[in-house]
Amino acid sequence: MKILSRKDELVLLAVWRLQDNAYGVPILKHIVKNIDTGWSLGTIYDTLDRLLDWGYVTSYQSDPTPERGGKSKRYFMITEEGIEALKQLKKVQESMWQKLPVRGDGLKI
Amino acid sequence: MRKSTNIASWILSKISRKVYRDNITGDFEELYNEIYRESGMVSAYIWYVRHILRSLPDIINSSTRRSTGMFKNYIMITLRNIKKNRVFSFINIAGLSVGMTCFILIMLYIKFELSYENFNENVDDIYRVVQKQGGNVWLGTDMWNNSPGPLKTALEEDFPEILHSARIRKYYRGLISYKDMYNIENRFIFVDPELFEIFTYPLITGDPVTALNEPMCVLLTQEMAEKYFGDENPVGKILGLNGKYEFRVTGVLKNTPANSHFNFDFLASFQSLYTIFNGNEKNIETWGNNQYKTYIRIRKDINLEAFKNRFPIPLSKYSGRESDDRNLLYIQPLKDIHLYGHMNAELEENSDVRYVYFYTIVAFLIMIIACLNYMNLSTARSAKRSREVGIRKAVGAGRKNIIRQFLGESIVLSFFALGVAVLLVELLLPVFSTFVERELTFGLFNNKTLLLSLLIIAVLVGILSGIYPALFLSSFKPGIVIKNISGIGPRANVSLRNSLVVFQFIISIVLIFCTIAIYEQLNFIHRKDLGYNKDLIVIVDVDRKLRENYEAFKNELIKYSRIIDISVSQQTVSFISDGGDAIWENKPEDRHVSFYKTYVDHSFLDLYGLEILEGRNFSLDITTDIKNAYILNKTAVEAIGWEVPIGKSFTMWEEGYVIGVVDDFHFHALRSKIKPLVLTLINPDDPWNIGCFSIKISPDDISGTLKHIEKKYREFSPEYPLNYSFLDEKVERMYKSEQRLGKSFMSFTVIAVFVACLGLFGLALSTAECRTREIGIRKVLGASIKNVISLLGREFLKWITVSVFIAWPIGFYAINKWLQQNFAYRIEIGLKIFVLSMGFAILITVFTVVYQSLKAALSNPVDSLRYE
Repeated sequence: MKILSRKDELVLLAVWRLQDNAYGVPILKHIVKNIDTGWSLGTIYDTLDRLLDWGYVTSYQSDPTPERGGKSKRYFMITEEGIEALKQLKKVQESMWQKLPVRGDGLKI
Repeated sequence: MRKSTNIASWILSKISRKVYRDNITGDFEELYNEIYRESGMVSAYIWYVRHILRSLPDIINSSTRRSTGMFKNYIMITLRNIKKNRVFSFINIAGLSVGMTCFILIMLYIKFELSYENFNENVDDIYRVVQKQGGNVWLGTDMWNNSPGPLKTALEEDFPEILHSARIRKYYRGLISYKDMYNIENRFIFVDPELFEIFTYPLITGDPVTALNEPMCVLLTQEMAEKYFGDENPVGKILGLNGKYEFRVTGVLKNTPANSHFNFDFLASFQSLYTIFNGNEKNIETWGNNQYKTYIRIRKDINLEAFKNRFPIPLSKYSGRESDDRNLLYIQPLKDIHLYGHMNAELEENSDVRYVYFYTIVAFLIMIIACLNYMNLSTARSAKRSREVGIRKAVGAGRKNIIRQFLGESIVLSFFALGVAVLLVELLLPVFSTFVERELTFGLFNNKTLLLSLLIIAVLVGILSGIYPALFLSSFKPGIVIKNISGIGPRANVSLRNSLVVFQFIISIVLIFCTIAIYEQLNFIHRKDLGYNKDLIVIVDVDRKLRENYEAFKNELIKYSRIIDISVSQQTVSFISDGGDAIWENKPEDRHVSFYKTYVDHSFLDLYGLEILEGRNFSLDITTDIKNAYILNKTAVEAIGWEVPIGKSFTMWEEGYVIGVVDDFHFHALRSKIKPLVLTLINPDDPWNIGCFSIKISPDDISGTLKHIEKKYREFSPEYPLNYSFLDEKVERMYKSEQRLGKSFMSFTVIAVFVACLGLFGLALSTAECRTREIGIRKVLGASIKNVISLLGREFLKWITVSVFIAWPIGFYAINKWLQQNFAYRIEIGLKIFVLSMGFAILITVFTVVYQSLKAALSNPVDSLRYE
């Protein structure tokens, strides 16, 4: 299983969290709300495209709506594999965070 | 709901992947509308554009992810091709980079030319008041940019639209002194304090509002402050002018920008002029003295059309003088002065918009030649690539992919060329700057627009030069090209290739033709008998001190054995610009002749070898010759229409009569016809109008003679620095702009010919390669080396000849026009120029082609036929 990058992780978590409402705009808002900077729609679509390739998300189109200039939304849903990948990542992170020396007092691992 | 469409969203929709296109643009719409509702259109728009720009890298990334394999392959193939065909890559990159270098340099120059006066914050509101002095045609125009002193107040009272106005008066050759430092300064001007309200000249120290409010105050530039005061604080120090007046320094200005139609080192308060003209205030307040330039700044909120429509205004409206009826006041926008100037009494030499056009055309021509090279070579070499294309197509590449690949290749090459060009520009910029006499800067990385436009140029050049080869190569039918074992694909459109060569060579030959003709004309100017001696004559400028005892100086110098003769005059023989109207015996009322007039002494005619046709020279023995005697030139007599001119009464400011007629000589540049000229004697009791000494020296020990002159000058005038020049050099300098034109044509010709030759060389190489086997077979069947060379060379020569015949009329037309517009005395465009340009073109062709042909002709047929 692949180790997800931070970008992948954040987007995947956002998709999971937003459930039925996971398309470009709310995903962007959700991420920006939490981390504030450096994200654009371009980044989100780039990441989602990759996740789609790996099979961590699936997607479907909605019907076009007028406030979007007659363009349709693309909703994303997290798959079992996606959830598995996130759990895996969390596990890796937790084990990596174990037994770190306190900064400065010279404890050895 | 508002829909936003602009270039950014277009780019977005073009590059995002098809699957997501609607979703992404839809998301953008949605957010845009949300922000629009919350904070209005402007911020929504700004967000929109910025967000798209920020998204681009990732979108590009995701759209190319799937095709990177292909992209990598393209780039790899490009680099391999560059490596494999070193000669062709070199030719292409060299041609393109030379073209780009020229292009960038010229664009820098043009940008500078168009930036004139832009440093002024209110550049669009500033105008210069100029006059059309009806009938007063001087040096080719009756437009004058000067105006009388009282005009400023008169205009301010008449026009509420005028926000500020200021006068400028230049002070020529002022002797500036501080402690024991003396220098002649030419960039000393008197200005009204309002100057700072009109132009933007920042002060480093001092207050612009008060600095020039009092008489005898002066501001100086940083450069001058360092020159005179070094590390001292200049404010409050006293500067001397001509050893007579004292100016108090009230501040320091930043150095003036070079892109201004006038530059200065010293700004003195206008009030000081009253001190300097003490007792002669008329000089400033009279309507008859056009010694000032008047600038105005108008209000922003006025009806500009109505304001402009009030001009022209006859000067008599303000002056009340009837004679000013024919002097019309106009306003000239500040931005027009540099490129559309051409008036009398300019403070500095202006440029001409025609140069801007000329350089632009040349830049594009050279760029086109370089692009054509690429096109030509790639199509010529299509045979080599045909199998590659065939196989690509056979494994499923569409035409689009092939086009993309070849365009990509040319763009990559073009970027290589851009890199080289940037280096070349950095290297050549100092040379080019001196050449065009502008302070150009490149500063690539400080200038985003420049960087961006260079990238765009590179892409454009890549597309332009790659589009035809791409279309052509992608049209190959895979079945045919793969089956074709010989490796020769369908023949490229030969006639198109030939016409490209012809086109390139037309441009080159026109340039060659023009260059030869310009140099012929320069040569003609150089050798033309001007009607006076110009060799071994030293011109020494007279300063205020020397003027008072010029006779003693003259008598002192003449004692020296290597000084043959010496003469004083108001102006130099090569350029007489003073003059005006005259009255003569029985002058008809409606006759109007402008005479040029200058003051000379008794030895002037002899020293310059000017021939007396009738009458006599000025004589020392006849005292009435002073003030009353006139010598006219032949043209003047003809203009008046006298049969017997001697003894006729003639009045040009002083009443007198004609004592002699002198043969015509060129007292102006050869651009204009010889004009009527009047010579009269300097009054030794009142030598105000002495301007220079002409000293005829003997050819041996010139430097010794010059040292002697300098020594004597020191004795007579210790403060003023000696300023001398040789007359023949002075005459040459009058044609500086022509010489510069000649030089630029020469360099552009060399560049254009070089690039065209690169192309020709490549073409010859590829023809020889394609026909290796044909030549082998011919040789086996008994063709001699001579036959083969003529076979290969003949075709090129044929096309060069065609280009020559097309180029001749174009070159003839252009040069003829130039000669007629610029020179009253000019060469005939003779057979010589035609023959020379043709010979030159053929010579270059033979030179470029012969090596390849020889190599092909000398090769052993065994080698060329073996690999079959």
